[in-house]
Amino acid sequence: MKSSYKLAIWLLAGLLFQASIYFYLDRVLFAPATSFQVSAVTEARAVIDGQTYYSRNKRYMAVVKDESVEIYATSPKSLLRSIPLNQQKVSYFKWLEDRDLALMAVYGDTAKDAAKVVLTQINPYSDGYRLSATIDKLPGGSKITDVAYSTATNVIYMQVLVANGPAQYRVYRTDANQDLTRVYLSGSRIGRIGVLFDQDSLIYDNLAEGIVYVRNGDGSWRVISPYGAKYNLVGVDGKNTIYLAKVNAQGLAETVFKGKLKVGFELDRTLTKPTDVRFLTMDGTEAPVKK
Amino acid sequence: MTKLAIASNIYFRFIVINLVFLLCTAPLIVLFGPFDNIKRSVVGAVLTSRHPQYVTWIFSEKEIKEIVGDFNPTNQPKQDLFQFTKRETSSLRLVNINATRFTGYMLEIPDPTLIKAATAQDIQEKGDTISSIAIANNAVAAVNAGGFYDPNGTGTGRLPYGVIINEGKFLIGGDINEQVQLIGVTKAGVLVAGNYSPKEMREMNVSEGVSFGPPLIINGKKLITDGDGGWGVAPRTAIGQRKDGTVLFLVIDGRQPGYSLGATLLDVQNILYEQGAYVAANLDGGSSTTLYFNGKVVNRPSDMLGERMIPTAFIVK
Repeated sequence: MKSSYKLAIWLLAGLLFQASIYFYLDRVLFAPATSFQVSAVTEARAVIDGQTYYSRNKRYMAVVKDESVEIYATSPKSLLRSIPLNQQKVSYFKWLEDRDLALMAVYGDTAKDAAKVVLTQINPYSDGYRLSATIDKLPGGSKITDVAYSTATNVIYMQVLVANGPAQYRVYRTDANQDLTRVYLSGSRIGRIGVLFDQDSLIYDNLAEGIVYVRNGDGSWRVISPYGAKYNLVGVDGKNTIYLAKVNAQGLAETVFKGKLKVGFELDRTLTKPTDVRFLTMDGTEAPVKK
Repeated sequence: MTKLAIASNIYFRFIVINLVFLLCTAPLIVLFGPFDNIKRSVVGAVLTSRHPQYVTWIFSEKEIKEIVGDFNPTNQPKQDLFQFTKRETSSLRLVNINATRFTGYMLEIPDPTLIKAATAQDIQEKGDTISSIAIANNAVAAVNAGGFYDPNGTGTGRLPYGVIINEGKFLIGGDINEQVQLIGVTKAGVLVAGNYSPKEMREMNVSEGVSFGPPLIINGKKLITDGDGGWGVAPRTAIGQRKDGTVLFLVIDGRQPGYSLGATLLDVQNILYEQGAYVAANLDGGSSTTLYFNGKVVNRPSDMLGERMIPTAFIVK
């Protein structure tokens, strides 16, 4: 076959291929109006192993296993659905405090600079498409380790571990418009992250410096921890109260301060012994030290 | 190499080359090509996004009007406040709405006098979710209603605009001296949609209302007759009323490829018209779109955190 003839066939086939895509989009997907069907709604009316998480009021329970995540209704106990993990691993799971939804982060073992992590919404009764945010082109072994969100502003910040020894993190942001962007911070050794309830403002700490920052949605930022000592972030509660731990030279917390932006910080409590900041909680019921 | 392997290789290269070419040429073909529906959807979606300047840089106002259609909701006919005899039944009925590009729900409420405009408990501080508003008001059903200022899409639902009317009293907007958008229900149970001044609203005996729009059906006539409404494809909420008084709450899910992309205003108008609406109007949509019924949210809000906090809802109690 002559090469000019081959080229003509290729061009013609390509033209038809592209035209068919545009035709489908134009006439079906983006048609001004589409035909619809109306139908009545039909109401869809164990031994546990694995890590379990309870929703608010304990109405639902999630069991994270190696191969799947199972969602149960607790009263009466019944398996609502099982979500296969497809060889991915769960790095974060949390039920939201005020609604029966959970956020789950998964990661896979992938090659260098091609890792992908996904934060997904889990709805106990919805087994179809799941709302999610995917961060790709990450260093191998990356995973989401913490999530800060506000159900008032619908902003979600994701802390992604991108390297071990010493641990290095990145932070990504998504919102109601499903814009996903990387948030560039003053360092990569990030401790905990938090977000103000009614403003798009990320609170984070730089562990290397012992300084806590606020970074606003418009990109502006400033230091919020008091000067003269090193502080780590403990958390931010639903009333925008920020909890900071004052740490000693060994990096262990000795006192906890609480306060608000533009108001200042005051002593909340003195710890009975120097404590790793990872085990501090905002309400003072310190999590037990893991061995 | 076998013939099959060679053919696969050629096929793969063909697809890849074409997709690359498609991606490179798509902006030009979408904006300046012959595919009017794609162009209208893209331009409409960008115009209602946070970055409308991307379109206004490229097209003049006249060209934009030609692309998205000449739908001017301010030129609506005067609404006829019709009378009806209430239906005997009092049971609410929920139905599925399915189409190629969207999935949604419609709730029929036979008695329109059960519709109230409810607000978040602490509206000056923050909004509430539809579930919270419904539970706080002992409502059997609720749908998101009025608009609010939403800077960068991170608003907390505490800044409603226009009017909010509850039991005949203006919670906000009673002192406005010009016409504002209204979607409301009169004391007699007639759905009202359009631009009215608070004085006119009082004269019409509007007892429940919020501000949003545009109206889609007035006096049994469709208002969008050219184009798709100009707002592109997105999650939608709307309200309508049949001539027998039955109120229709409609929600269409969107922004969830594989489940539901969303609907145009024309889709919403057509659904409500075919379901018998004599009056209908669009309510706040996007990630606010939420329908609560019988103790739970029945649709799938498009935000990963679930229901958005919003200032107002139409509830059934």
